Amino acid sequence: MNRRDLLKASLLGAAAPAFAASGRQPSTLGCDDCVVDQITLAMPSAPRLKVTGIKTFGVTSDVLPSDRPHVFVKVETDAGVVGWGEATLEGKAAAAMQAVHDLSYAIMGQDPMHVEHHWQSMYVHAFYRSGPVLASAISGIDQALWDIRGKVLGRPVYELLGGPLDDRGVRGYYHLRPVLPPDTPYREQVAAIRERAERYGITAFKTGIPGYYEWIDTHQRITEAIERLHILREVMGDHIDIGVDFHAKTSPAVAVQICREVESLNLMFVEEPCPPENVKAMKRISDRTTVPIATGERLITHYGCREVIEGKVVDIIQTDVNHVGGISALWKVGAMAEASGVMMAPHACEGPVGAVASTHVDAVMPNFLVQEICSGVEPDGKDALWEELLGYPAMRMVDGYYPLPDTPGLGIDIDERVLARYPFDGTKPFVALPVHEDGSIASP
Amino acid sequence: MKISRVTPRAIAEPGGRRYLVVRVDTDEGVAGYAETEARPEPRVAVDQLRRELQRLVGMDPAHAVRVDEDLRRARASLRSRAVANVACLDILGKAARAPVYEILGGPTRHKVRAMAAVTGGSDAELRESVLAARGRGHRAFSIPLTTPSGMERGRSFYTGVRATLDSLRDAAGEGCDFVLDCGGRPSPGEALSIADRLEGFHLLWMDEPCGELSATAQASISRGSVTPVGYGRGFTDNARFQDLLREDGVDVLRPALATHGLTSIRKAAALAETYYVAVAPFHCGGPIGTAAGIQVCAALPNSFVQETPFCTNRADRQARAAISGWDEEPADGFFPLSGKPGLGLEVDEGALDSYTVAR
Repeated sequence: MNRRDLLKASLLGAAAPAFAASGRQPSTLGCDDCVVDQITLAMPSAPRLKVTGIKTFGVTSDVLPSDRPHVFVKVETDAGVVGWGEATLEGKAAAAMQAVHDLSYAIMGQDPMHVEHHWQSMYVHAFYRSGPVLASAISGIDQALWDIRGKVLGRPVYELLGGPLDDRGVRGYYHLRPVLPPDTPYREQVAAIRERAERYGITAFKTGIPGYYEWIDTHQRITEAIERLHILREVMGDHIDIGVDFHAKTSPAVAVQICREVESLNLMFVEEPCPPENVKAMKRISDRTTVPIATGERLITHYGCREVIEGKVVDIIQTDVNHVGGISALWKVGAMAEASGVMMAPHACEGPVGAVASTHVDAVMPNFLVQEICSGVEPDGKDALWEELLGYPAMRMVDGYYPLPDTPGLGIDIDERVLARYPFDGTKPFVALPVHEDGSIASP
Repeated sequence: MKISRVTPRAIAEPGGRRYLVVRVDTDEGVAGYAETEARPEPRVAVDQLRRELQRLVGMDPAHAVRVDEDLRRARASLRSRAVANVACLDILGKAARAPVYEILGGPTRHKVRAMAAVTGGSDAELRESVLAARGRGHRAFSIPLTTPSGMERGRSFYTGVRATLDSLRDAAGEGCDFVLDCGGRPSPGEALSIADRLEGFHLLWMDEPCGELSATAQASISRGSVTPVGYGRGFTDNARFQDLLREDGVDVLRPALATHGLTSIRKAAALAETYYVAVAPFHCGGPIGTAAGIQVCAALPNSFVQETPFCTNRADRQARAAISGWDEEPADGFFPLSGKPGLGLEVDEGALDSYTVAR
């Protein structure tokens, strides 16, 4: 009996055993040329609780980058247990929120414990799979479902995923943000950051390369980038790890020249040395340098990572729990990477809910390297906002590690009354819209 | 609108540079110009273009792709197809009162980086040429590679190439950049040795580092070195660019304006865009060709520079300016964009007559 026959049979009352066990019937809408399946529930056991509501909250604040008001997802159940997730998408806040509501078909009235099933429904039933808007929405819902699962089962999410590998928590890095006035010479600025890193036990930082690049670029611009990185290593010393984010501003032609001349610095990685669409172009870089190459913040789901992992294109994958498809997809990416000897250094440059969710996955991956947070070594207004929202200083490291929460679920509880203090003020474009000297569009 | 007449002629500048200029007239009085190479000999080239382009008469210049398909099926030469395309776009722009870059999709930039292809048989001559070009607004220079006449190379050849470029950079000063034009003469192995020697110099790119070999052979230089490489002045079809991109063998596409219409260059650029590869149209002819290159560069998202031959000879500069009504001088390394219709030139028929050597 093929699938179509099975569905026709079910309409005639001869339901397959799996459907019968659920006590629910699949409904089928037929037409002459197609069959649209609406399997409302195909689970072997009766639901122990049901999703009764999905809410989204846009959080706008002057202390956040203008393009990324936080988009939080709250999933409510009939048992009173709620889950929190994050679907923040840079420059597309309203679209991400709407996409979350578009996906309500998959979980409203459903058992929130069946997270894999719902992930498949949100992704596979979408027909037009992938894309950052859909995947960010899936990510928000997926995180919220995992939060509920942990709370219902009375365990932190990282225990449901296999348990933590390091009692100290999850190793992290901060961004190389100024701690002295912006006009302070670079060497002095780096020296001051190093002094604070040593004081707080921070062991890794990430920085960028100055300005924007054309696909072929000049001696002056290439040299400036190389010299900046040599100064950074010299002042930072040999005991602090340094990642360098090229932010896909460079082409293979430009990136590989810079990489070649910073090999002696033993960088932790160079990130996104070219844009992400062309995997062969990325491999053209990694084949010609010994600098570890990282990419992945813009890759969507484990499907989107397969080629870069299997082809040994990069050394480190940096998928983002808010864009890759949530905890479910980030964990699968980690498993794929592990089989190819590729390390995981998840990206996190949005809000605190996703960042904390990411640490749960980090904790259980044998091939975990380091977790990003887009914060400086000294806390700022954004860190104060996060503490206000989550009730504790989220994503602040202790001796170089983010501590893992020991409460059930993600360890997050957000008061809606606090969210109401930061009402959504609409979508804003990506935070940088650069152009080159001749006015042509530059990769930000 | 219909094409009513096609008039090719060969031009020779006083210094000896030769190229063909083709005028295409229409029944509505709008005329378009285009330029191509005069090889192997001006008279032969003019006859070939006149013969091949006769079939344009009666066709609509607004149907540039149909015109090109017709020429392709008739097995016309690449230069005829290139000329027909540029002239049609010039006519269309003039009829629409819009620059060609507006026709091609609108400007992606407000100025186009310039590169002077300089000449010189010795370091001293090259230095003089670079400084003269710098004095006329250029900041990027294409330097011809001088290869020994025989097969001997020796270490001194490779160290000499680097020393020449180092001295030119010293002479040109801050903010100047260089392409090494190898002209396809080195073997891939020699080219790789040169590329290796030039790592850290940050050439814009090494042009035609080896001849038109297999894509695998051409890609071997890029695989072995981080020095960027450019290819394509002799490519007859965009399929060759696609092969080389797929082989990870090229950083700059160099379609020649003499043999590629602007539509063809735009298609090559689309192939390159998906590899984060730049386009820099090759040009060694006259001012009409340079103007056409600027127009297409202005409309491409991934153009990097438009090359133009630099004339140290004042008489040549005067001839080019008289023909095109334009001095071809960039400002601080960039050509400003003309807002005039078509190619933005006012071609002087009288000046053309003065320098015509065959028609």
